[in-house]
Amino acid sequence: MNIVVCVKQVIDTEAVIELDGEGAVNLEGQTLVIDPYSEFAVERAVQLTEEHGGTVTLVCLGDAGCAAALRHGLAMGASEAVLLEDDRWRERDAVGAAAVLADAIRPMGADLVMGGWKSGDTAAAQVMGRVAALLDLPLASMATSCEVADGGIRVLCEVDDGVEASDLPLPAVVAAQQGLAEPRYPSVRDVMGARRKKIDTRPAVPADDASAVVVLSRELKPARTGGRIVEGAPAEAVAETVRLLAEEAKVL
Amino acid sequence: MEEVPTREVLWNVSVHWVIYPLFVLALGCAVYFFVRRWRLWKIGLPEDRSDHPKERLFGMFRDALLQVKVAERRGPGFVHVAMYTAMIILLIATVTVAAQADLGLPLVQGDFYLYFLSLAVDIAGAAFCVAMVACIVRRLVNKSLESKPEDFIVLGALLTIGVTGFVLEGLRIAGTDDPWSAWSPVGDLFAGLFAGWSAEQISALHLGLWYFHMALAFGLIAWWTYCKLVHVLLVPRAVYSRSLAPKGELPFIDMEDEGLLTMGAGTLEELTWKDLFDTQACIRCNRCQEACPAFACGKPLSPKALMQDLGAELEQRGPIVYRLQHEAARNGEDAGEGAEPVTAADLVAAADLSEAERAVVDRTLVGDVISPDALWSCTTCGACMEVCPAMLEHVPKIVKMRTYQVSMESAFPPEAQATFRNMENNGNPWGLGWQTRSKWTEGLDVPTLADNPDAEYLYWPGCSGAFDTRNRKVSAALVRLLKEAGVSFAILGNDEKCCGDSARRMGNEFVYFMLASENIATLDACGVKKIIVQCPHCYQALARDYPQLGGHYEVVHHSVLLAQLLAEGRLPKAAERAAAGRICVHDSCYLGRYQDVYDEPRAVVRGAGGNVVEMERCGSHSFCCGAGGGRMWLEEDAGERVNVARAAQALATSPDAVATSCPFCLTMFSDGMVSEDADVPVRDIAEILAGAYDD
Repeated sequence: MNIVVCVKQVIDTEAVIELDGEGAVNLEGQTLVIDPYSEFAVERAVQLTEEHGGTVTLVCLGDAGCAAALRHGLAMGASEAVLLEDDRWRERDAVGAAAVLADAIRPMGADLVMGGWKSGDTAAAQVMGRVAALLDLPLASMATSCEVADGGIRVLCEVDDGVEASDLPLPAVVAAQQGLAEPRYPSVRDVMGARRKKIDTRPAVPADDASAVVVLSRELKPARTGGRIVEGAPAEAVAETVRLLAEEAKVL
Repeated sequence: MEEVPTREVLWNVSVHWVIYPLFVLALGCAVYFFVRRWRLWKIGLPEDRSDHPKERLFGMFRDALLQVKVAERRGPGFVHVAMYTAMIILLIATVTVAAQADLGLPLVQGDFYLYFLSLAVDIAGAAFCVAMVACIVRRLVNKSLESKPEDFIVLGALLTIGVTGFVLEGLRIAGTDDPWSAWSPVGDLFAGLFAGWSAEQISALHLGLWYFHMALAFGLIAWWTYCKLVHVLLVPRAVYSRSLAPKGELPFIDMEDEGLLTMGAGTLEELTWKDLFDTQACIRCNRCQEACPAFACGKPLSPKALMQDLGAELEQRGPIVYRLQHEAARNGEDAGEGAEPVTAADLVAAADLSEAERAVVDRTLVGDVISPDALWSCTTCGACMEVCPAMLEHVPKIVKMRTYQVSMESAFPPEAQATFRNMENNGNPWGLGWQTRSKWTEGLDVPTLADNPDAEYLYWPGCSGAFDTRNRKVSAALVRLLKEAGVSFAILGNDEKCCGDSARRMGNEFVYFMLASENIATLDACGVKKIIVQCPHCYQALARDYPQLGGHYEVVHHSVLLAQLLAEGRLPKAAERAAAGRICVHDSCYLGRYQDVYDEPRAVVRGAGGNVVEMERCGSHSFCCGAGGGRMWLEEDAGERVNVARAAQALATSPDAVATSCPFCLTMFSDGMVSEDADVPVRDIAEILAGAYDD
């Protein structure tokens, strides 16, 4: 089974985000990691090839620095990696990103295309759906399980208030939700091994990065203010808390 | 003319020369078994333990020859010293008799005969027999010793040799009507048993028993290096080859070495010869097991069992690997230069072995020999090493095995993964945004090195001091005291990263290396020379781990600095307060046992007016809080919780407060108090001292 996994590099999820004067996210000094949702997909893909044989090829739209995310995926057990290089990749919208990825994936003859259902930073949740559409393949999004069954795959996907089980023929696209697989921690042996693997770097095609969507501004969420601590003996404090919830917060 | 006191040596024995060929035979057996054992530790990696020979010899003299450390343990330790001393006296006597019988030296006479060869030897023999009986009774009563048949056979044989010696002496006294028999009081007692026996009866029994006595003694000599008695040879050597490095130092792994094939110990032969030697020198005395907090709390770890299990596996695996290593060395010589380096695992994997041998070498070190649960139960507190009379090194073996498990196999408790990732991505174990590290200083007016580049000290609050809500109060208290005393200091702010101690002791050498090299680069770029820490684990990393990577700093723990400031009178207000009550001081393992700092935390508590109370296990025998060795970040499912056990020990002293000097101890104790439903406050020594400044 040959699996292609779309990988994105994002700012660490715990990072404190700062915006520059033009509303762009300041990347200076930020820790960049493999996107957690991409990572779920890589893990499951590697597990599937461990179970059934085959290869895992990573595909990433990004700049030279994004090679680190690919190296991480290689250390996890992927066999090959392709970097679709574009220094201005962050300016592409989902339409542009999906087009580049789909064009790169099409000739690869993948049985299964995987990726995160959204990314940990921009969270537009469009790319994998668009890739499926461009490749004209069935899509299982928000997948929390993916097993090979009867020549196809059986997936569990999160739906509102529940889980839906479906069978998909191959080839297909699976977009990972948290829970699809618990990503492994690569050993130093794996990390060293990944360093020796070559990353196939090619320019992103089409090179045109004109976005249909124009971001006007970005604004950060207001910082969380500390909770209120009600002092006093337990009985009094509880009574006071109940009063505050009823009278001030008006939630009771 | 007065008669010179003496006796006929080898009375009643005509062909005593037979002793010598038999002795040579017995010694030959002992040498053969010793060489077999010697090959076992030869398969280990090289490690130089021959530096500072004078210091090593002195230690060997004190702790092996004089048995100072053995005697620290009342009861069994005393009995051991008694049997040891008696055995030496008996040996001298035997050699003296042999020297007279076969070299013709007139030694067995005069005062030396009466005071030493008769009286002293009789007392020694009696003491020896009593000691043997005491040991047998102890082993019958104390089931935690897990006695083996071997233990009883050795003790029984030694006791029999002792008792038959006295019977022989009694027979000789009775048979020769010895005029000096009063100088051999115990032998004289035995002689009484044979009153009325005919000379022939006495002679016959004496001769038979003499051969039996000798056969048993020589049998024991032949068996000496095969059985536990080999410790007589190995323990002095273990003490001589003990580690003289700063406590807690781990072997350096060069992460920048392109040729690095493996790290840590994945097989026995990836431990050093000294590690393997230790497993042979361990005499199962049980002191380590009794000291181990993990064992005490029902975890699946016993330092004794660890040594014994490694030793037993070595006896199986050692001879096979020894053979393979020698074949490879021969082939390597034939191949000449340029042969590919192979790991221990490769060597064994490629070897042509019988099915039985294959079954032995395929056993995994962690998994088949040492259970992963045991490996991960260790808090690296070092209590086992502190009490070991042979100064064996349990903790480094555990860390080496963890290093292999994590670095090469990626096998570790699953919850550690988040900790490792958090350290990698945000430079702290909680994974809080690295940009929020200096948030704790809000409203405290703490200068950064950028504000105050000429500061004398860098203050390093560590991850707990910067991120943990409870420990931030300790940082605030310490800042207040430093300012009060006029200490010139500054912090790194957001550029500080986790010191890497937990990562390294959990076996993640890679993450440790990343954190340490970044910290060293930052510290060196700022020209930092002196560092104040409040976490003994940070101390361990900054002062003892970083020099291996080229980072050399003068690191001072806040307990030491505060004690010094108090002594210099720079915290005058503290001295005026004297109402802090009974304060139970808990020794952090990494401050006490690792750095030998015991007095300063107590001096600080006293300086704040506290009345120091001690737990039963305090000082160098302190009981871990349960957080060391990265245990802070792991779940604790098996048995009782270590921190709860320690909190209960503290509560037994009826304290008004518990004083800690380590952020992990503070967290663990606070949780432990909650579990014990106790409202005794747990406070860092800096908070206790700063309390004197609250108005």
